[in-house]
Amino acid sequence: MIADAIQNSVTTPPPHSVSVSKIAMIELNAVTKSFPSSASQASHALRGVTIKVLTGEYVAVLGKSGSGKSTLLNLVAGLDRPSAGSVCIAGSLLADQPVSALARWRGRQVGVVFQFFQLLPTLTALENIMLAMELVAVVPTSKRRRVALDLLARVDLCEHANKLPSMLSGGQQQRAAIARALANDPPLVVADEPTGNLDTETAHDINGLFQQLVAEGKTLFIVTHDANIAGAADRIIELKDGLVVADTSVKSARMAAPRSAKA
Amino acid sequence: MRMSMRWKKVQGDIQLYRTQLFAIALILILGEAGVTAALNAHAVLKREIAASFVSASAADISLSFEHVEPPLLAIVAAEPGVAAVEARRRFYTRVAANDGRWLSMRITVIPDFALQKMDFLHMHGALWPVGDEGIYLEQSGQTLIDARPAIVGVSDKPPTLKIRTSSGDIVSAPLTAFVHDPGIAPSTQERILEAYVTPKTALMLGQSANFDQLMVKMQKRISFNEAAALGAALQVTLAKLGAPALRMEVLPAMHPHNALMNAMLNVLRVLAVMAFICSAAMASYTVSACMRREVRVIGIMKTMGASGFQICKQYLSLIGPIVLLAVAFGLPLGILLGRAVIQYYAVSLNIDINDPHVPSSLMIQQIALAICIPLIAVAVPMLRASRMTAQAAVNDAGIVELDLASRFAAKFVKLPNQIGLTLALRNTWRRPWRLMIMLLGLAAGGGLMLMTHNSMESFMRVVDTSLANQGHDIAVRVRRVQPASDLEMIARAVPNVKIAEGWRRAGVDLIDTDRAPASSRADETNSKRATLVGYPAETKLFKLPVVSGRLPSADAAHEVLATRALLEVYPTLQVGATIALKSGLRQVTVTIVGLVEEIASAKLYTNFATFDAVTGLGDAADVIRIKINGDQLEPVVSGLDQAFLSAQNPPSAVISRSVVRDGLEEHFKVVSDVVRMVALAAALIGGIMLAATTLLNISERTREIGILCTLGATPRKIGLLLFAEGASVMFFSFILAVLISIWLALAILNVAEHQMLHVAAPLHFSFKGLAILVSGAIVVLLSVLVTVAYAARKTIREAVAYE
Repeated sequence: MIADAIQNSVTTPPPHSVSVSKIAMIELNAVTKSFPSSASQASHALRGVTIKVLTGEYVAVLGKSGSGKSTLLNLVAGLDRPSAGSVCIAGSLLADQPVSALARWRGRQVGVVFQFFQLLPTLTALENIMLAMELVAVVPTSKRRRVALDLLARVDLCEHANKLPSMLSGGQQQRAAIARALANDPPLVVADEPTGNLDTETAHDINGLFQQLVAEGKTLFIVTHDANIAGAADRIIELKDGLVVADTSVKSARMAAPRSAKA
Repeated sequence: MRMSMRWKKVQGDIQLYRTQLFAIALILILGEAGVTAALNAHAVLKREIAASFVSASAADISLSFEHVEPPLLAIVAAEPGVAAVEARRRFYTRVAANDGRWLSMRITVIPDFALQKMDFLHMHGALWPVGDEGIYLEQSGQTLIDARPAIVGVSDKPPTLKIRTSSGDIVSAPLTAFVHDPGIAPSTQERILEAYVTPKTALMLGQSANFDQLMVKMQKRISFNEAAALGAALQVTLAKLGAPALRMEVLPAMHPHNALMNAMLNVLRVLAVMAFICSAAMASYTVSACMRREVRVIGIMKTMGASGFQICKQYLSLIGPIVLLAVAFGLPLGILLGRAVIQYYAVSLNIDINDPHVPSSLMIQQIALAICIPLIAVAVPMLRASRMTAQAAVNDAGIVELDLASRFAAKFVKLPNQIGLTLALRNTWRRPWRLMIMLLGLAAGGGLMLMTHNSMESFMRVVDTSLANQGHDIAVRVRRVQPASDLEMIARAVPNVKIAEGWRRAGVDLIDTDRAPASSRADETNSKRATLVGYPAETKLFKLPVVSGRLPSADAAHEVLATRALLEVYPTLQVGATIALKSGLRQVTVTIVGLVEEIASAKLYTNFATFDAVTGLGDAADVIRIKINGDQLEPVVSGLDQAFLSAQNPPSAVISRSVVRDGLEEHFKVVSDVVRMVALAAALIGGIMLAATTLLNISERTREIGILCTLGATPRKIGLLLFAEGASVMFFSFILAVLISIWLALAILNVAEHQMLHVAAPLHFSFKGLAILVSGAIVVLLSVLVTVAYAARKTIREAVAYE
């Protein structure tokens, strides 16, 4: 339903489209990100990271604090630019894009979920979702309310549509934030510790939601410490000191496991 | 030497909050300057206005005679309660201008400038010359004279004035000096020049060297009634000695523009209070808003074991220097501004500022307030943090919690299909106190400014209506009374004179026969005085609308019309009342048959028959009222001047409609200028507040901006949303300002109608004022736009990375 609504109105192609593999959603090639720490020195958050994520993959990024997880997520979401290397998301090279073009692209292609939900406190749950639609203008004005209510129904928040975030529980706020991330039906959803501020039961629900999204063909790129989330992912990337130290396909291992069990 | 960690934190905070700290410093400096300027100006002007009038040592009683001889002076001086006496004489003349126009000039003859005993004139920095034959011109007339440079020369020879004598001759008299008469209204407002001469110069100007007024200064004047009693006693004594006074008048012991100056001082006081409240509120909330973000840091410091004293010291090290800097810059700036205001009013009100110093106690209070208020503002969030547990302080996000106003806004502020604008509108309610202060600051500034324009527009419409109602365009006062027909004939010979009518005037005492016997109120008899004006039976120039009652019958001999001013000054008089009019020794009873409205004139109008019955002056006109063809007043004024001069009856004054209008406009300007200052200050403060608040809003909501960025909002859209917040505040302030201006203008017009103008004063909206208000609003919006453009330049990463 969301896809139908959006398909009718998407007209603008992503900026600087390049010929990439149709199934590659995220392509990071030798990406380095440095931050100036003093007059003469720079700290390197990422050091030549190369990652390729296919469309429909569910990727969990693990690593200790300071390993570069959030920096990686910011680069994937187009919230930051690499110091070196290239970032290509959904067929769009993000380097050198003007800020405004990047913002428009992000609104259409990426849904972002935060640890602390980050709903706008003066807008209701419904309005938070409708604002995301209004900013990008992919969903026609006349359909926004209906689409937003559908999204809230999907995350089981229909009854709370007109409540302010302060009147919702943590789990409800996170579900509303996920609904907002899906407002413009983006092919890629990135999340930064989405269950880090939730109890186990609520975190389990959220995990279920993420799995549904993957089942619908969305690509999920999640930074997490949650073993359950990581366990549900197709692939786990582990970072340490700005480097990818492990890239494990859990899906193939999971598929192989029953076979070996049978054997 | 290594810097201590505490100082490093201060250094870091300065770096982090540099924009906010700059805004705080600017607000403190402007607030301090505004309050200092207003308080200083008020304190100095209040003191100096009073001192200026006291320095005049105004006479208390005036007794009129045919001649005042030295023995008479001695007799009155010897009476108990009399401190000093002095003979004087006044006459009117005309002073020529280069372009052919003649200005009215009132000349007072003073026996000896060096031996003045009351109504003192001051000559700045010079001694009175002995036996001088020149003219001493009151300094407030300087601007009127300066407009005619050929009259006042800059050569080695003393400048001369061309004066028309009573015989019509023109004499050149030297302009000896400009003097200051602190007891009179400024010439710029009265539109008449004041000059002072010795008897010798009076003779040269064709006047008698005799005096006709005996001025009395009392030893101690406590009340009007006391002065009236002494005046009456003097009348009785002089009558017994065979030298009866023609008239006794108790002079008001106040400046003629006392009410106007008090109004100006009151407005200045309002300015001081407003500037204080606005700057205090602004300083408080900008400092406390900045400090609010530090609550969490204070919590962290507490977990590290910092004591309350150490935390206080930490933040005082940050804010203290800014407060001191603000005092160091704001105070001198305020003193300079205050002096400019004082100087402006010294000239405008024609007062001497002998002591421009501000009381030291006031300065100490100002400095104390300037230091204490921002420090209290710092203390509030610090106290809040100190009351919280360390954990609660650490977890305080600072911006999430919604109060009642925000919930109210979330419920009721909703624009269909405009979630972005809805967000902007609701965000304005997130800080209701801040919103209220901003609205009040902006609305008060705009409202006062528009109120000034609305009031001025209304006043001038009242003036124009009243002048149109008078029916004539020019009034010529002649020195020598003549039969009306003779004067009319002279005037009609002047080109473009359409109608000319000879009218009569005489001063009469009013005795309210309906109330009580006149004898029982001897003290009031002299104080109830009015001008009786006689118009011709077939008048075409009496156009004053009768608002109550009727016109006197053409042939009635004892009917009069009263102006509303007269009935409001003497409320016991009413339409239908019978009063006795006393003129000299004659006393005639008349009936007030109607009420007319004329600006500020306590007059009685009647036909010639009644006028003659009351005054016994017969067909003796001294005023010609003229209606002209077209609207070119000046050529007709000059023509009339020349015509009466040629007819050997030179006018003492030729008063055109425009002269009256200009004079009244000057009166209104005294108060309206200070109101404009208030408006400018309030709008300036409000504008800075809006820009500063926008800055704070943006810095407080970095995280929210980051969220919008992740949702796909472009910097332009974010800027527009933030701008919409400022614009919505501006919009509501604008509406509020218009409403405030209308309400205030109605209140002012109501007071003015009953206490000053004495004519109906309906409200007229000033579109010029509205245009200025719109321009001001645009300027404020531009400042918000610049602030938004500046503050929203933070990178998306910085915004998202916040906290």
